[in-house]
Amino acid sequence: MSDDDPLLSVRDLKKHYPVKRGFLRRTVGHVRAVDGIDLKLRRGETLALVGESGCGKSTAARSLLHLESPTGGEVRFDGASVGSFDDGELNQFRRRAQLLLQNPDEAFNPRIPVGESVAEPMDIHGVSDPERREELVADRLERVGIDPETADRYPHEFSGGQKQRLALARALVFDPDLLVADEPTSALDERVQTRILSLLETLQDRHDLAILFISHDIRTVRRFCDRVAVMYLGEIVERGPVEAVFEDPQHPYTQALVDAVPTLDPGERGEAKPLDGDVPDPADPPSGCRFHTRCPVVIPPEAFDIDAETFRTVLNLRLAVAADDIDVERLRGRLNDASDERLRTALRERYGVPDSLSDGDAERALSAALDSLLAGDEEAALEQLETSFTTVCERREPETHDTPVGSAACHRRDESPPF
Amino acid sequence: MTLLSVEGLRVEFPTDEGPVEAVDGVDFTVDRGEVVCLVGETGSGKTAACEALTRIADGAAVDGSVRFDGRELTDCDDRTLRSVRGDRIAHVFQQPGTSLDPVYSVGDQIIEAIRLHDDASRNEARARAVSLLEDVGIAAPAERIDAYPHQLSGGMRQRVAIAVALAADPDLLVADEPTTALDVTLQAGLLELLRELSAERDLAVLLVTHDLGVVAELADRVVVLYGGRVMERGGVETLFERPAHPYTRLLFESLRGTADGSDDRPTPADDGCPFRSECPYAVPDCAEGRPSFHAADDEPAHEVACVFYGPDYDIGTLGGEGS
Repeated sequence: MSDDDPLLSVRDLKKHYPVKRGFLRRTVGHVRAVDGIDLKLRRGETLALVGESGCGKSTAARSLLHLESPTGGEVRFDGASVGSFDDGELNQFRRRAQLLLQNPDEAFNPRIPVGESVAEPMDIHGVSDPERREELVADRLERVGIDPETADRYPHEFSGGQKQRLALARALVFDPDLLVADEPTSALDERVQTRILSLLETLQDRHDLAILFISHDIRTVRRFCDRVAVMYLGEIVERGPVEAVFEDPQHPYTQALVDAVPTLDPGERGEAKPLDGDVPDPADPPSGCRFHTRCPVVIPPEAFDIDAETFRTVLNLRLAVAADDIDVERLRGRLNDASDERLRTALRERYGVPDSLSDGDAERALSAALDSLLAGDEEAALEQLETSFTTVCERREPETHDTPVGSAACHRRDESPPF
Repeated sequence: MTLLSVEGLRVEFPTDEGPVEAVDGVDFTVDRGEVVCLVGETGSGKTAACEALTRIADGAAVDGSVRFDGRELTDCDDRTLRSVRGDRIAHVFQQPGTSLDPVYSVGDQIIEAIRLHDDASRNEARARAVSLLEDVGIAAPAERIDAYPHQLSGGMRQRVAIAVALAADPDLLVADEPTTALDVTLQAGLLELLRELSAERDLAVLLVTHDLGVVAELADRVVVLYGGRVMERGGVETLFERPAHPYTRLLFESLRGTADGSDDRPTPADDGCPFRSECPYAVPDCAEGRPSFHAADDEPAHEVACVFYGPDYDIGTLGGEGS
């Protein structure tokens, strides 16, 4: 295999979990935790997989290591398909591809000296010569900066950072080619994080280790990784070199992640922008672009002359009606039996919709829908909103477009937006 | 006006190997409407210090003085303390689950907190609960009030926990890593909320965090803790521009990716500077008694507990302006 061939190549990886209900445990749907992702990772390279909690990044890690069988897609490691491995080959794969977790406490039994825990993988893989074991453990402890003399101590005698080093020593027992690190530093203090990351860097250089670094922390990823894949609700929405992607995000979701990071400058407080709304249910992901329910620059309907920001507010109102989130009678009661006019204003205010939309047709459509809502006909209101205020982002799945440095899946990059 | 004044606070926890000193003589104050951040790493004593204010941690031995609105809290009996805790000082924790009960609707929990505080009728309390939910940024509060905690996202649960904390209209909100368990996309919104609440309600906030990003967004003043002691304190802008203590400087440097220091932190049991075993500049004097506070620069409120700022040393030895 040439140097350019990836060590790890993941194509259209899927992991769906059945949702079971009732006495007969019938399958009523599927949580699409990972829904068709591609990844490539070369030797000595660090690829970040970033996204909010619940976006599927940890599930992706476990399924590409075949710790959980994928629902679909293919994982190739060093040129061979992991799905077709027999037991022996799978065993070999498990030595060469290791997983490092966020919480080192989960990796250590409090009643077993840490040296024995570090040696544990050798039991599973049948290394029984005591001298060889001791030698290996001592060597790996030294590599991670732990004094081998302390191997007979117990986990509680070590700090959080030291325990993460010990977990790393254990992952390195068989000199793996691939390390999948799932939020390996998130539970640690900043200074300890920095030291663990610099240790990982050293080990990577020395052993040509490939690292898949799973994280929600953009600052850490920028510091430590070469390339990044941004994940949202089971899909990858943007990828490319880390600095280029975060300097000039091409997908609105990446932009939102970057915008939410505080500046570390008290003079510029308040600049960080939250991303509104919740991560939708992966059992029922939004149609079209999955990010359209939260996207700040969702594409407005061609029929109206309204900007993306205004359209976002109307779409939020529409989604609230669809989710049955608006109880007009309750609102009326709260406002002391206010007039319909007051209620209209209150509803617009709640969703940030302007008093009057600049486009006359849009305003008429919205007013009609609000009238239906106030008359108690939610169904009609929803139909009016869904007919008038619709977006290509919800109708069509975006294609993945090339960007100057990578790729992004967003309708804003379509050559002529297909309204 | 000073609302809370903490002097010589000590907190000890009993362990199998004898008592462990988590907080070792800490002083700080919080004014009305002000946000003060206690910044520190694991083991710095920041959580123990704020839990000691109203003695919410079991088994901790607390010593020193905690004066709140003119009253000494360390002398109070449990009943008085409970009423201060409910009415005047409210706590918010890292995991919103800590303060929310999964079997009651969020409305019931806020209503109960309101009615514990004053004898509002159920209907009045309910109306106030709705408006509290609105204040903490819950969309459609009248609809969400009957939801159970598990039906809400993590970010919304933390907002509800803040609403419960505000139900009794407290003077001081003690928030321990309130955004740490949240995604960064939600963090910014919650920090904005805390900023608004503090300004609009003249609410004093004591915020405990390890995250300098959170400090930059929220703090008026900063107290840096290490090994149970105050290393440095000052206004947020000064402290970010000119971190003075070698420890504070290391904190800022690690954000830029420099990886000095070690993972084991032996805290000497003596009176010397607890940071000296990690400090790149340590001199024998660092082991000689508790370092006193010195002016770090021209800012009167910027103080640092480090011998290098004393009369016998030249600050230039520490090199540069930090960051």
